[in-house]
This record gives sequence, C-alpha cells and structure tokens, in this order.
Amino acid sequence: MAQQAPAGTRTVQVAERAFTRGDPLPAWVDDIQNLPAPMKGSPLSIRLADVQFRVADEPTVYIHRAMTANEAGSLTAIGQYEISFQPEYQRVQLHSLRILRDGQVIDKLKAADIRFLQRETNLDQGLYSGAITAAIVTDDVRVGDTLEMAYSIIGQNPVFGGKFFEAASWDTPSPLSLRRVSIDMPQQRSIHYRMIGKGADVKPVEIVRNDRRILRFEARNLPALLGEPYVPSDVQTYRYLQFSEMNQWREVNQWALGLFDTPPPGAALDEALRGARQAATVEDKVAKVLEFVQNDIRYLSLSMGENSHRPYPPAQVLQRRYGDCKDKALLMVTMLRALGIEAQPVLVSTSLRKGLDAMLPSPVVFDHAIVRARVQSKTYYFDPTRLGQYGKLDRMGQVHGGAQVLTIASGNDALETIPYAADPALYTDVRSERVTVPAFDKPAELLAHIEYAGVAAESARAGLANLSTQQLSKAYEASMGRRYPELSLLDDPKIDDDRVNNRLSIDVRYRIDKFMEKEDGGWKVSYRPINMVEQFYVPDVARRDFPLLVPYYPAIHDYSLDVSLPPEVDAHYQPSQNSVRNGAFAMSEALSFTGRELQAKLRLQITADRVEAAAVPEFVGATRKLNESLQGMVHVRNGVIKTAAAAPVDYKQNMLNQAEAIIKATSRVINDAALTGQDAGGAWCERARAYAWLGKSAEALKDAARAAQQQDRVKENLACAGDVRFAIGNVKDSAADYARAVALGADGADIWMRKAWSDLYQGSKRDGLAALAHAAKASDDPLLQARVRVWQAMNGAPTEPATVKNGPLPEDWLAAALDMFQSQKSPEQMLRLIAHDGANGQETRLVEAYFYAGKFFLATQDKIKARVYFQRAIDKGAISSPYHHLARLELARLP
Amino acid sequence: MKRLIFLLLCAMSGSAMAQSPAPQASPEQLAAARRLVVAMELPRYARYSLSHTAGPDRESTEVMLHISQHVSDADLAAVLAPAYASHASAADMDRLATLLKSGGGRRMVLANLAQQNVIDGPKAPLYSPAEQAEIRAIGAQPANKAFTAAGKQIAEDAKRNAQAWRTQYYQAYQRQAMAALADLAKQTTTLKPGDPEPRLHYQPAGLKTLDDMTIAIANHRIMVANARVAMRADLDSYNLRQNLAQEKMVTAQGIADGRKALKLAEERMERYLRAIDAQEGMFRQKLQSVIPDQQSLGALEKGIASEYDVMVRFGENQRGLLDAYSRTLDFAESRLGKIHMQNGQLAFDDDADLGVFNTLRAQMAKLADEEAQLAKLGTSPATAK
Repeated sequence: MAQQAPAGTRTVQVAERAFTRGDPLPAWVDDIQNLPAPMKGSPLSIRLADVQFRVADEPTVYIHRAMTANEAGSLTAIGQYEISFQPEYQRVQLHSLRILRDGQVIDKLKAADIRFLQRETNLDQGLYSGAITAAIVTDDVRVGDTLEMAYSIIGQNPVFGGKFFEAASWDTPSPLSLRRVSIDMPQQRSIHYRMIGKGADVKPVEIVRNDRRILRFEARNLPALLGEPYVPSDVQTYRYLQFSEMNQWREVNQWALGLFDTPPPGAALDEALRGARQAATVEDKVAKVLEFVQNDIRYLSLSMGENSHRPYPPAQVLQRRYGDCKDKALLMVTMLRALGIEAQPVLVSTSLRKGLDAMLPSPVVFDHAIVRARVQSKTYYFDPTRLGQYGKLDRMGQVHGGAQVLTIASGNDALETIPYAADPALYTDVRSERVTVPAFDKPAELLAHIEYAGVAAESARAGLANLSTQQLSKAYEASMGRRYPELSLLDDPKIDDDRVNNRLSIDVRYRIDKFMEKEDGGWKVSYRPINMVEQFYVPDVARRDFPLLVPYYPAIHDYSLDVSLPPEVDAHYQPSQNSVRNGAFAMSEALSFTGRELQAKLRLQITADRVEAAAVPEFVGATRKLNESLQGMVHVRNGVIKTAAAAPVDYKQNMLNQAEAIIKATSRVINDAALTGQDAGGAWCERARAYAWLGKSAEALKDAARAAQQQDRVKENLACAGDVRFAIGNVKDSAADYARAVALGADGADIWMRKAWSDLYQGSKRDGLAALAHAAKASDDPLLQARVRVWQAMNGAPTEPATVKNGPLPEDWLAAALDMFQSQKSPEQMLRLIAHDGANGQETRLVEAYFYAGKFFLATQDKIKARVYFQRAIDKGAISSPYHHLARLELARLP
Repeated sequence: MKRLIFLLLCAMSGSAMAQSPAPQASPEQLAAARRLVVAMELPRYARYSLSHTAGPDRESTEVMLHISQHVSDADLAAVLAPAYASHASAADMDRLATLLKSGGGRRMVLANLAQQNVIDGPKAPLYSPAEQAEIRAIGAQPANKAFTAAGKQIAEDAKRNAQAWRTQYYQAYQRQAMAALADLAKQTTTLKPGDPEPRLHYQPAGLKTLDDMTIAIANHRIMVANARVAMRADLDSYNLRQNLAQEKMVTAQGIADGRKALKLAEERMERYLRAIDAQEGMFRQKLQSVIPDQQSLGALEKGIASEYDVMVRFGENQRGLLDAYSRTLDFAESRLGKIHMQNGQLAFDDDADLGVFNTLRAQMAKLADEEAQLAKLGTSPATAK
C-alpha cells in the first residue's frame, strides 16, 4: 500500500541533487563536537541550536541541532523533523543524523525514512509556492534519547540579486543549553544585524580571518519562553536575529522598482480599459479599473522562484486572466497610469502590519502588494485581491488601515502608514430588532434589520454571492435559533445592496413562539445584541508580559431593540443608562420602558488595536461588565399590566362566588357560635362542602371532622363527610361514610344516589346498582328516577320501571341520554335537546350531559372523545355538581 | 484509538444519557476536530450505522435511513467533531489526523471499518515495520491519549450532539410539512363558496410516515373546509340575517319567517356537525393506518382532541345561539302589538319588555363573542364567515 501524505500535502519526488545525505561538513563550518548536557524540567530540551550563515555567491546556511526527549509526549518532535526548502534554487545536504542513547551513538543517517511533501494547504485560496518539506522520520526513538543532526541549505532566491537577507530565531518554547548564531561574510560586504523582540540584546564576537569577517552570537542555558495568546503581530514574543544587506528603505524601494518595471501591454490593455474609459469622472474610472482587476482577474498565486516577488507582465496577466497580489497590483497601476492617473505599487506586510520601522530594511518583511493612487488630490490605497468593492472611492472599506507600507516610487526612502477610514460610518454595523407582541402567550413577530458598511459590507456582499436563498434563510434561522428555540422565518431574507455608497442591509422577519417568558411576578423579555458578542479575546490569565491583541479595531456596533408589548401593559419607568469604558472599548446602554413600548439601545465602540499588558486586568473586568449588558433582560412585572375590564360574571365565576359566599356566611355563624358558646349546627358541614368544592381538601376534612363531633346529627354528619370525601375524590371513604349513614337510617334519594356513585367508582358495582335501586324507590321525582335509569343503562343493568307515568319527562334530554346508553340515540341528539329544554339551568344540564357523552364514548372505546367531553364537563366550572366531580374521577382514571 | 472509534459507532443512532457537556472549544479546535473526524472515517461509520440500525419506532428508522442517504460527509463530520474538539489542542488533533492519513494509520482506519463490516477488506492486516511505527506514533499522540482518557465523555457528547442534530434534521422536514399545511390552512380559512378547492403544495420529503401523515392531515382539512363552505352557503340561502332582522319581530308573519329560517339553520347545523364528526372518525382511522407508532399517534391525538374540543364547543355555541334567537322570537310573539318599529328601531310599550329584550340581546352578543373566539382557534367551522 502506498504511503499517504498528511492532509493538505502530497508526496513528490525531487531531483537527486536536491537532497543528499552523507555529504561531509563544509570546510568553513566551525563544528561543535561536545554537546552540552540537556536542561531538565521540560518535555523537550534543546541541547544545541547552532546556525551558521555563509555569505557567498552561493549562500549557505548550516544547521546543527541536538534535542532530547525527556517525556514520551516529545518523541514526535525528535521522531519527525522537517526541513523546508525551494528546490528551484536551493538544495539540502544532510550531513549527519544520529541518536545518542546512554553513551551509545546510533547512526540513523541511512535508515531514516525521508519523504518529500509538497504543501498545498493554501491551494484552495489560490496560493502555490512550490516549497518542499523534507520530512525525516527516525524510527526507534525513546524517552531520554537525543537526536543530533546537521544539515546545510545551499542557495538563495535569485530575485534578490545576490543580496543577503536572513533571520534566525533566538528564544524557544523549550529550554536551550547552547544557542549559537554565526554569520561568515566577505570583509567587503556589509551585512547589518538587529535583535528583534523584547529582551536583552546579544553582542556578537567578531573574528576576522582570510578576508572574511565572522560575527558570532552565543548564549548558554536559555530558559524556555512561554508564549502568550493574542499578542499583536508586530510584537515579538520570541526574539530573533535579523540580517539584511540593506540599511535604507530606499534600497528596498530601488530593488522593487526593478521588479515592477515591465513593458506596457499594448492592445490587450485598451480592451481592458474599455469600461473605464466610458466612465464619466476620474473617480468612476478608478472604480471601474478596480472592479475589473478584482472581478475579471481571478486570484491565483504561482509564487515559484523569482516570481515569489517579481510580478508577471500585465500583458501575460490579461491573457491568463489570473494573477496574485503583485500581478494584480501591477496591472492596476498600469491601467491607471494609462488613464493618466498617478498610481504606484505598495508593499505591505500582512503578517506584521506595523512595527516595520523597528526592523532592518529588507524586502522579505513584505508579503503582499496593493496599489496607491492619487485621485483629485486625495490618496487612496486599493487592494485588487479583494472582492465586493464598487462605487464611490470614499465609501470603500480599508482592510490595511494602520499598516506600515512601502510605496514603490522613484526616490521614495521611507515607510508610510495607511490611515484608518476617516468616517466612522464606514466601520459601523447596525442591528435593529423590532418586535410586536400581540399577547403575552401568543407568538411575536420580530423584524431584524442588519446593516453593514465599508469592509463589512464588502465581505457580506462577497459572502452572499455564494449563498442560495435557501442557504441564507437557513443561516439566519440558525443564528436566531440559538436565542429563541421555537421560531420560523416568515419570509426569505430581503437584501438591499447599495453598491455606490457601499452599504448592504438585510431584513429578516421571524415568528417567535415564546418571545415572552413567564416568571414569578410577571413576564420576561430576553435579548442579545449578537453583533456585539465575541468581539474580544479575554485571556484566562490577566497578568501578562505582552500586550493583548484587540482583533476588530476599529469598529462600532449599534444594536437597538424596540418591543411593542400587549396593549394591557402600561409602564412608567425612568429611562436608565449604563456605560463601560476602558482603553480598548466603550460601551453605552440606554433602556426605556414607557407605556407598552420597551426600548434598548447599545453601542460598542472598539477604540484601540491592543491593550497594554498592565491594563489587561482592567480590560478583563470591563469585558465582564460588557457581557452582563449583552445578556439583555427586561422584566415586565405584573404591576405594569392593566387588569382587564370587569367582564360580566359568568356561570363558572358565579359558582365560585357562591362557594366563597357560603364560606363567608358559615364562618360568621361558626365564629359567633364560638363567642356565645352555642352549637354551630350544620354550619361546619356546609362550610366543609364549600371548601371541598373549591379544592381546599385539608380545610374541608377539618370542618367535616368538627361536624362529626356533634353527636345529635350523626346521619347528617356522616353524609356530610361522605359528600366532602366524594368531592375531593376519596370514593372509598365516601362509600363507607354513606354506608354508615344509610345503616343508621338515612334514606334520602340523594344519599342513595351518592352512595351508588361512590360504590361504582370504588369498584363495587353490585352495591352501586343496589344503591341505585334504593334511590329510585326513595323518591317520586321523575327526574331522579330518570337519572337512576340512565345510570343503570350506563352500567349495563336492567332499568327500573318508571313509577311516575304522568306524561313525558320535563326534560327531554334525559330521556335522550337513556336512549343513548341503550344505543337508540347519538350523543349529538342528546346535546341538541339540551338547548330545547330552556335557558334556565342549561349550564348545569350541559355538565351532566357532557359527562354522559364522555361515558358513552368511553364505552365505545373512543378515549379521545371521552376525554374531551369529561374535560368540557369540568370546564363548565359547576363545582357543586356531582357530575363535575365524577368527570374529574373519570379523567383521573383515563390513561 | 480503536476503542474510541467503536464507542462512536452508535453515536448517530443511539440515545444519550444526561451528562454535563464538555467545555466549549475554539473555532480552531472545531476545525481541527472536523479534519480529524474525517481522517478517522467516522462519517463513514456513522452512515453505515444509520442505515443498519433500527430506531425505537418506524419514524426514527426512516429518519436515520434518510440521513444516511442524503447528508454529506462534511455535515456528518461537523456533527461528530464538537465532541472531540475541546479535549485536545488544534495542533495535536492535526498531528493525529496527519498520522491517521499515513500509510499505517490509514490501513488501521480501514481495518476498523472492515471489522465493523462497513467495508470489505482485511480486518487484521499485517503491517510493515514502518507502518507499525506509525501506528505506535498514533498511540503516543497527546490527542489520542486525551481522547482515550475522555472516551466516555466524548461518546456521550457525540451521542447527545447526534441526537440533537437528528431531531433538528427531522424538525426541518417537519417544518417544511407544517409550512405546507399552514399554507393550506390559509387557503381553507379564507375559503368561500365558489372558490377553487384548496390544494396542498408539498414536495414529499421521502420520509414515508411524515409524508403520509401530512397528506392525510391536508385531505382532512380540505374535507372539513369543503363541509364548512357548503354549510355556510346553505345558511346564506336561508336569508337568516333578513329573517331575523328587528322589523320581523313586530309582525306574526315576520316571526313565522324567522322560525322557518331558524329551523332550517338548526337542521343544517346538526347535519354539518354529524358530517364533521364522521370525517373526524375517518381521519383518525387514516392516521392509525399511516402512523404505526403509538407514541407518535398519541402526540397527534392531542391535536385531534383539541380540534374535537373546538367542535364540541362550537356545537354548544351554535345551539345556544339558535336557542337564543328562538327565545327572542318567542318573546316577540308573546309581545305582538306591544313592540313597534319607530324610525328604524324597535320601540317598546313597556319598559320591562325592553329590559327582557336587552337581556336576550346580551345573551346573543355573548354567544356571538364566543363564536368569534372559536373562529380564532383556526380549525373552528366558524372561521369562514
């Protein structure tokens, strides 16, 4: 099976000469024979890091390293070593490779598995450098082993014309026993050096011999240096030595002028300029040229050999229709000049951005090229590799604001700084959310308006161009879904792109099912200014040695929330304001809540690109306060919600009022009786029933117990206890109470009826049917007799013959109920007759009829309908009706 | 590594226990974890697992199969990666991913796939010394050690993430179905006599139960809407408004016309209620045939119960309203000659009669309010007026 290369790379073959092993050490090398001992206390210890530069027609760098793995976790570092080189102009000689183990020297030079990998990690971004990585895999490495290796890289990019530019790191994350960096140069050549980064300078020892000058920098026992995250790119955490044969920026300029001096492209240029020439104003012409270079010339970097720095001629770029930054920059400069507009290429360091003035002038510090143009006495910097830039030049975004750059122009000898956008509107994004809440427990509609300008508008424009409407909808649904889990988009997002003024807005309409959250004492509105979150990296450790990067400077984020609450809300709060301010940002928050309108406005202004190390603790504290404000929440207390206008008291409320009135009246009797020492009579019992109807079981049972203490009304009190227990759902005890009451002689039809229900519901069908028969005999009331028959039919028992035969029942619907249980009528027919039996008592009849309908559907195994009817019987609120309590029993029994 | 992969085999199809989630990972860690998950071939495992595992019910099985057939490896990786991401640094995960793509690492991954019958191929291949060294290097990777140590947590997190994502995945299709039904509801609620029959605009998702259920619900709603429109058309034809107008209250003929119209309306209303009841029954039967899972059916039954509850209340309301009209006619008949039309308004000889009339009118107003409230519940037959 073929070996597979790591992700983003592919294995390649290189010319035999490009990488050789076993070559002797060059004669000029000052070899270190005795390795210093490794330093302890770190997984990996570097015993030796020796770098020797040889400045010559064919420059060479010799590297001699020895590393000890003190722990298993570091075996990878010594087991696989990588050397990067450019085979187009460089070759590598691996002089030695060995393992030092317990006094043994194990030669691995021949056995090492060396693979050549071409990294293509940036190919999808159009970058192709041609660099090769030699991955040297050494097998059988163990904890305690030292890997010692020596190799030379010979050759230099010809684009530098033999001038020397190099760098060597000084500090490392692992302890280093001996660090040595030497440069060996002809005496007549002047190579400058500078230690870059925070820390003590290192003075070299100078040796002169055989017309050569050697500078040697050396240090022993360098401790491990731990880096810190999010350090501004121009601040060097680890020191390094920079070498350059140039001492003035004008030399770099002079060198670059030669690269950008290419022949004019001729006819192809005229074709490319056709659109620009038709533009009415100079400004429009520049915009057209920029648009052409950005959009019509695809970005692709083939930066091999000289072309790492030398642009391809514009004619070739126009013919290929692709190019990298310098190709595009040169093409744009050429086009602008052809239109009579002053323009120059500009070199930029995107990795450092600033701090270049602290370094030695050198072409290798730059990694990007853009364009400077003078248009109507104003200076503009354009990046032709960007996308999405159109319209007015003053409204275009500037991604290189604050960067120190070198303009390639005759006579230029200084760096200059690209200004940040002067108009804050160009780095202000706006998010406003307008919410309408028709009712607290109803879905709300949220209209989000998002507005980008400057760089953000350009990025959004380029990003949106790659999204389908469906993907866009999904993205906006997902982003809001984190705040409100139950939402849906009401429309596709609406995009309004003003390319001329470089503003892009998006409107999204959501339906949010639970915008208002119920809480104790009212409701809660939650919001989150999502355009303000995660703007900063907040370190876990606030004490730092280096400044903290603020990545998104400059920026202003505005957020507003306007909520129209339901009409019953009437708040009168004083508007409140809050602000957080420190060296890196300022945040202001204003809240107002008047009437039904609630408004929150927040502004976050990022005011610096870094926080100095000493100020980081204060910054961390400020971000905590900021995050508290970003967890937006407003409470809508019950006190600000107007109660609804008094509605006409309905049946349900009437029943409750009646029960309350009974409690009030009986309580007075009971209290008066206590004062006068008299018997409260049936008041205890009456109040017990009323409490039971209201679901106040404890009070009801307590009163029933007090009633039972009155020995002169035992039957009545037992019946009372039975009623109370029946109403609170304890049918077993209520059946016992009724049984004792009838055993003591109670013979009322109502008691027999209740006993029948209690018996039936506690599972004693025989006793229940017997009690029904007693009930029928105990009364001449045709309605009661009809109910007995209904219950008998309901329970599949033969029905009692009617003892009263004086015409039809006064309530037809009861006869229909009986027919229903005898399968002669439908529940609908029974219910239809309810209305025909007059308005008086209709609600009470409906409770009973719904209960019967529920029982009917239960018998037919239709539990859904049964449940609906039982629930309907309960919803009527006839709390004193036995059918209300029977329906509750049924619902409790339904699965 | 082997053990870890096995733990995750069922991640896409299993269910997770409640456990506190791992700390949040950085975007770099998440990106690295995605690359690692791809290197581990977990999407392939997941796809296999989804297509070969039966869910707790038919609907879940359909969803899992659907995912296995429609979701890209990148999406599956994005679901699985967060469980790993916080347990190792991005650099460590990238190193591990790189090694998994080495000769030995790749063969080990493929052997794992073969062991789980995901692919054909050697289940216990012989490794060359170099490959063995690579596999040893994989074992020694800090990321691998971290994953092994946190295996239980990772497995639980992966299951939880997968479960949440599976739910979201299904809910997206459900939303599509609900949107189509909502669109249909718009058509049905505004349906008037003479309008074309409402149509369901729904692209079947390929999830049989969901598709069948959506179509069944749509058909039911169309039938109910048609029944309602037919009833409304009939009610309109009875000229209820004219026959129950105030001027009819003052003459015997007017009252007789009112009673006739009321009787027709009552009969029609009862027929309508019966028709809807029958339709409801057929709908429930249909649902039982398309949704075999009792739990899913139970969830739908809540909706059916709610719809039925509205029907019951509507029936009560309409009967009450017709009864109130009927009693108003009774009242007018008993006061013939004592109530007159004056300047387009009823005039009462006796103030007490005015009180009775106002009481009846208040009752009708209350019932009309109730009717309007029922209409807002959406599925009420009172919707289209």
